[in-house]
Amino acid sequence: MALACVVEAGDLRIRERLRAEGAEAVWASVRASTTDDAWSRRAALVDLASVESLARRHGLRFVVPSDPEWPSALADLDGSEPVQQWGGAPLGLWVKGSASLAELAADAVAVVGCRASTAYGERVATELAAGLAEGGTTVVSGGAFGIDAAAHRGALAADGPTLPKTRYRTLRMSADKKVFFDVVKTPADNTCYYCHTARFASTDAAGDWTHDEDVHLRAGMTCSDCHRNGIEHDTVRGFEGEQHSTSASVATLSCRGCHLDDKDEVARVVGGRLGAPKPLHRGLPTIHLELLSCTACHSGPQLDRDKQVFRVQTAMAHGLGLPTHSLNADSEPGIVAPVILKSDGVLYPHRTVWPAFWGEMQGTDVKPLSPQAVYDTLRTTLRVRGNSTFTETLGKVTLKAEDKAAVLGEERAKVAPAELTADERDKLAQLEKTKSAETFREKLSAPLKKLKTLIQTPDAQPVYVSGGRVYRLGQDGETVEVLAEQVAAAQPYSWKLAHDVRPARWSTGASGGCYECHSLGSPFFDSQVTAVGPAPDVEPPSERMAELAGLDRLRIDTWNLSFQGRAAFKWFGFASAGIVGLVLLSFVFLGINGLGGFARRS
Amino acid sequence: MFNDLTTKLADILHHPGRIFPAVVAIVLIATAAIVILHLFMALLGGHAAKQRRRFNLWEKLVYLAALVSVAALAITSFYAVLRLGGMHGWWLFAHMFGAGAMTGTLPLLALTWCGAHCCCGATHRPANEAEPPRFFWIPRVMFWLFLLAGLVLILTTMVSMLPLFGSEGLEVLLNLHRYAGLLAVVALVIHLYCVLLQRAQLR
Repeated sequence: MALACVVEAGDLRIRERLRAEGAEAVWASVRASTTDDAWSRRAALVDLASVESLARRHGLRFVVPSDPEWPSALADLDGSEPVQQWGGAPLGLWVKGSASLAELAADAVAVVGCRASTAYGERVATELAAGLAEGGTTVVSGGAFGIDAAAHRGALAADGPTLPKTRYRTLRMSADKKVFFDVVKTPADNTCYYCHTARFASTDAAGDWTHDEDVHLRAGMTCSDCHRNGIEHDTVRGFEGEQHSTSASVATLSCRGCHLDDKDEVARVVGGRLGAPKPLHRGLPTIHLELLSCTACHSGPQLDRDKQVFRVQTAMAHGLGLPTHSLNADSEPGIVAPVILKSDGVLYPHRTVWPAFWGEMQGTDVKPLSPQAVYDTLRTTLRVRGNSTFTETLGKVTLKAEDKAAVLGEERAKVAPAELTADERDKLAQLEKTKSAETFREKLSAPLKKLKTLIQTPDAQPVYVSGGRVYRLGQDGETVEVLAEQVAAAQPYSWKLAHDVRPARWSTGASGGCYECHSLGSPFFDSQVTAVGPAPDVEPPSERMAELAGLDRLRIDTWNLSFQGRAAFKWFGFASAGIVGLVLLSFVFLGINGLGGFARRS
Repeated sequence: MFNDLTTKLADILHHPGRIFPAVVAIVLIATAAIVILHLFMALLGGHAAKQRRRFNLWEKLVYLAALVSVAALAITSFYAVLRLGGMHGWWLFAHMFGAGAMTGTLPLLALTWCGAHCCCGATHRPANEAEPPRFFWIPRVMFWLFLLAGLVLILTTMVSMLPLFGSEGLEVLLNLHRYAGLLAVVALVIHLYCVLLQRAQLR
């Protein structure tokens, strides 16, 4: 046990010495050694009584090869070829739990893999381990992040026996048993992209800036240069003021900490990591650095001149990279960006999504129903086909000839769609939207009625939440109505975005100066954020960006209006300063002259 | 101990903006105390009052406009700094409009009142030698201090609007603006006090 505390598992040097001298002699020799090697240094720190006491407290026992429950298969390791001079059976194993290790290991399968695993690999490892555990087979794996952890999760989810073999170096632990791994082995960016990436779904998205992606990646940096990992994938997000769970200082991993400087609780941070340029921000009043995040001007898609936000798809929500990923811009969930919102008094660009779910409503409190229960209940009622979406199933309409004629007139209704004018096409699209919304509400009645069987709470009723609205059965129990009042559960959910980071010349305000934001109707304050969701809606809830951010509309408009006379004010100001300066200068000369006269008279 | 003090002093000198609220509070209280103390002494019968020429309507109007604009600027800035922790929102907006008014009144004040505050000796005194100067030395000094501070205030505002200085340069300009503003307010308060003192024939 003592040797296991000082010698790394698989160190061949100890195997040879154990064979030759025996465990007790080797320990005595290591303990007595005066040489300044790693074993001796660690041995000097080992307090066996304390180790035994800790083991007893945590219900641990130390199993050695001579014990009856020692897994005999481990002996094979002694006969195997070393890998990079490491190998052999371990000196012993720490075991927790009442089961016999030998019995557990008699029917065991190892599931191991890389740390920088793909989402697909982890899913397969989890399912494999869960399947094995359900069948009574023990899953053996390491304790590393990635495939190993996924295997354990799968086995534990199935309540099966697992044998983790992790040994952490106590010197890397902080007093509160947390470890911060400053990643040395850089995972490939593609590994990160499986979960952390986004693409524009709108065809008109991205504005004028369509090349070069993120400036940091183009400059040769990788994801982990800023987004350092901790154990359990506790990744640093990189936002200002972030506190990592390990209490490690992560201030230099934010935009400000890297490019400017920042303060955390520990020490002042000097910017300039990896040659990061320090921005000049010429002529930008410093109040902007207090009220805006760096990302507000430098990240995400450029604000749209038409004052609309863009539909985006993210890896996690839309399965980017998977074969099932849909390139359709309208694929759900509908996420939009950039939405400028306040967080801790600072404006950040966000991605926003409106919840869409089946729920039960009591008063104005809506709780989601179990998706599996909803699926089981509605699978026959809804009959959503594999190649068709929920919206299409409930809201798709084909305009009839008489419908078209009512809008376009008898003659134009017969014309082929390609020959219609843009105005006529818009009229038809509007009609289709209206019809679609009506059809959706009609068809929503059946599933809502069916879901009553799932409602357990008295006075609660089934509802469908989508696009900021709540749909429920009306008083007659047949027709579907939209709830007039706002419900918290239907409100949009937003999270900060920071990528892609645009080049400095493409940042907000770089080309248009102050007026890019401070002018009446600027996209920064006046963009319309319109709710999206699976339910077709003729007039979905829509709000101005400034109001969504909780800014005072009157103040913003008045402030922006005052910028109309800014150029004239500059001339006026300098003229005023010139007059005052001349007066001062004249009277300084007169004063000097007067002093001279006074001196002569004296 | 000495090292700690040196470090703290260096920190203050590097970030004069941080101690500004404390400086404002101390300076305003000190100014009020000095004015009250002086008034008390004047009421006890210090100096013999002199007959000085009265101000015409235009001079009064210009002075009043300067007073109002500076008062607006002082209230919007000092209240926001002392009570709200910084100037944002409507306070900043009001301050900006007050600044516009002051930018207009300051040259008028300089042109209208400069002759009365001239420290240029006998050669440039008014033709009527028997007439005493319109102000004694304190308001004269305060007037020129106010004009100088006002010039710095306008220039720091205007230069900040140009794409010349980066964040650090703008921070320096902002600190200059802050302290020049404080100086202007103190100078004008004392000047006003002296004017009122003379009107009340206590000086």
